[in-house]
Amino acid sequence: MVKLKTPASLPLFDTQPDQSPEQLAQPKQPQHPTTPVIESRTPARAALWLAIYLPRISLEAVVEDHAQRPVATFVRDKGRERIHTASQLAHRGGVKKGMLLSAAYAICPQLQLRPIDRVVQKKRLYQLALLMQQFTSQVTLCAGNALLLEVQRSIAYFGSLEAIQTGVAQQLSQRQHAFYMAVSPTPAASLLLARTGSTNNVCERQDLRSALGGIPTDYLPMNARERQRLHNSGVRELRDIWRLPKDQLGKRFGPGFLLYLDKLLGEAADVRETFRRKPRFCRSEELMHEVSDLDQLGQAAHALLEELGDFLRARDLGVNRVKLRLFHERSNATSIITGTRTATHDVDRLFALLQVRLQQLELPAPVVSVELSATRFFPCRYHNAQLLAPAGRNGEEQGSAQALFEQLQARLGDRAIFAVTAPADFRPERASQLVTAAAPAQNKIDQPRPLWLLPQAEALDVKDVALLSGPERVEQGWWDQHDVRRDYYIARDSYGRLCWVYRDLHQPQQWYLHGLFG
Amino acid sequence: MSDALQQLLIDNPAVWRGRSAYAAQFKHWPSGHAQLDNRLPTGGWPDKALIELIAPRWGVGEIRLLAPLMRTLSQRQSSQLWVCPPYLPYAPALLGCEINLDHVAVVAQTRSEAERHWCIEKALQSGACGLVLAWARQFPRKVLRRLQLAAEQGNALAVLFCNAPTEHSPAALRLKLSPALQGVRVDVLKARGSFATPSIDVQLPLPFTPPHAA
Repeated sequence: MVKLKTPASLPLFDTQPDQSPEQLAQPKQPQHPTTPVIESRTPARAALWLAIYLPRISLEAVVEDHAQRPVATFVRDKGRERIHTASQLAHRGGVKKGMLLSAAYAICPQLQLRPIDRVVQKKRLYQLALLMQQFTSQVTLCAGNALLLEVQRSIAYFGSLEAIQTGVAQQLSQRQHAFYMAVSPTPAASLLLARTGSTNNVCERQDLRSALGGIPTDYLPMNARERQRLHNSGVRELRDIWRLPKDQLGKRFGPGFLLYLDKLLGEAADVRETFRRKPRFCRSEELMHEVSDLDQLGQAAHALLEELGDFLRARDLGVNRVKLRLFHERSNATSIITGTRTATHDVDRLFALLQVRLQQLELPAPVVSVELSATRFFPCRYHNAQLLAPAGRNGEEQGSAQALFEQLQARLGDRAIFAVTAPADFRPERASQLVTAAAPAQNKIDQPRPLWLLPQAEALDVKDVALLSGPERVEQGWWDQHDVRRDYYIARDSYGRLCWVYRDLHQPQQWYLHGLFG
Repeated sequence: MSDALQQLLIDNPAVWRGRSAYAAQFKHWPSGHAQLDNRLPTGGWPDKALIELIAPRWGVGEIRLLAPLMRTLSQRQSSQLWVCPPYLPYAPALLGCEINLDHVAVVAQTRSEAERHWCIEKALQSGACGLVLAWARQFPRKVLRRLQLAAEQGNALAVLFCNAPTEHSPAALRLKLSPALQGVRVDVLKARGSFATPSIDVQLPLPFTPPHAA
């Protein structure tokens, strides 16, 4: 029978267990008086999950020296700012979670406050996950403040489970993290045990039921109302839940709750996403001497791009943005960012784009080193090239057309090259649009339309033109503030051109030239 | 004449061999207008070349003159690039001419003349565009020569619209356009492989039914 510490006041699920910070600050050395030691003689064992719960990571991530001074993070909750996590000294001063800031100041006047920063916290957890990859290849991030490590396969290498736990504890305490660790055969149970502050290892699935039995139900991931209902029905510990009939539980608390219970005991599969380091590419090259010749820079950039090509090919990835930085002896680095419209692994295509930008470049000083980096990667399919290149004007050109447009865009700017679309609108000025991203709507109009449209209709004296055909009435848009009521005519102007003119029915004397038949 | 010699002559459009021989052998695009095809030495628009269209102002019928060519090329999935058009190309009318908008790209404006010329040259060289249409008041002769080479290299056709003619232009075909009652009047200023021809009126389909015909 595993003995668990049951706190008197019952905190919410993802809060720190109500233990004194003194206890937290010195991470306990693993003690295993009752648990059996895992030995390698048992073959092909099921997975064993080590959960690391970091109750104060939101503070530890934003404040470096949280051990030396009273400091706390706060969070805005329903319009009022409340304490989220307090440091050891602040806790000793009486600052508690959920306290109003004014109350906290009153108790502990020298308290320093920091807003909570989820992004920094996530980054810290990410770093810790990277660190934990020395113990196992399978690390999972959980809910912003916990990590799961699959350790069964690492036991043989490290010798024993305790060796792994000691190693993990050492790494975490070196970085001044307060933490709880627990080991069990299922991820959900490990997390739950870690959150309750248990230090006992459960290594067999059949022991789970009794090991979890003493945990108060307040640690379960449920909302406050359901927790209250569970409490009202006389359930205080998980042990009480084990005694209840499953179908009744399912009726009252939903199938999600039943699934969670099954996952706890390993009766349902619990698949966790394994943490993987994001791919990054950053290579630089020191030049042999100071270079101000753009051709030589191009060669250096090409060599780096070749490396990028190998990197992408090995991982089946593509990039749509690369950054080239040119470092100078005394002035700031010059950076060139260039991108393609679709993710690519084609080095020549990227090189052509870089070359366009390089040619426009005015160097402030000679270049001493070059660096190429890419941060965002996309899965990219590799096509087979055609053996027999089809001749002439056909579909083969389309691929290179994309490359050409990218090249033009690189030099002319983002808002220079457009596709033409015909949206479904009868208002003449809205029936055609120049758009940057091609999503061609092709709505045909049977009435005669000019090939040229003036960007702005020009006022016109009707005596200067000879009306040839018409009118065609266009009466649209009364529903969206762009009311159009016009009579369109085809006319010949004094130069002999065919024009598209209209009379505005809102001001019947006024005529406008709107297009040319070209 | 040996076959090899024959082939050499065919491959080199710069050697003039009299009208009939020329017309039959060089690749060309039918213009879609019978009167014009009859008058041009190649029997249509030349391929891999520059065409210069000169008119003091636009809207005289130049796009309707080129519409059949654009349709043919767009049916062959060949991209076309419009560089600095004077007005907005109007999508419903392009669709009316059966031009696939998927293959039409527009460079709305460039910051300088040099950038415009670079843009046209790149598009021609790349081999990705079958047709490049470009507008300017006038193209310098040096630029025209570069563009001619780019068109040959990229296997593309360039149509340059200019308001003022350039002296001694290297373009394969130079036409002066002026409005006419039933379409457009075309003066052939220069056509590679032929002597000057009198002006012709090319009838263009009217966008409406004339009242007397109804």
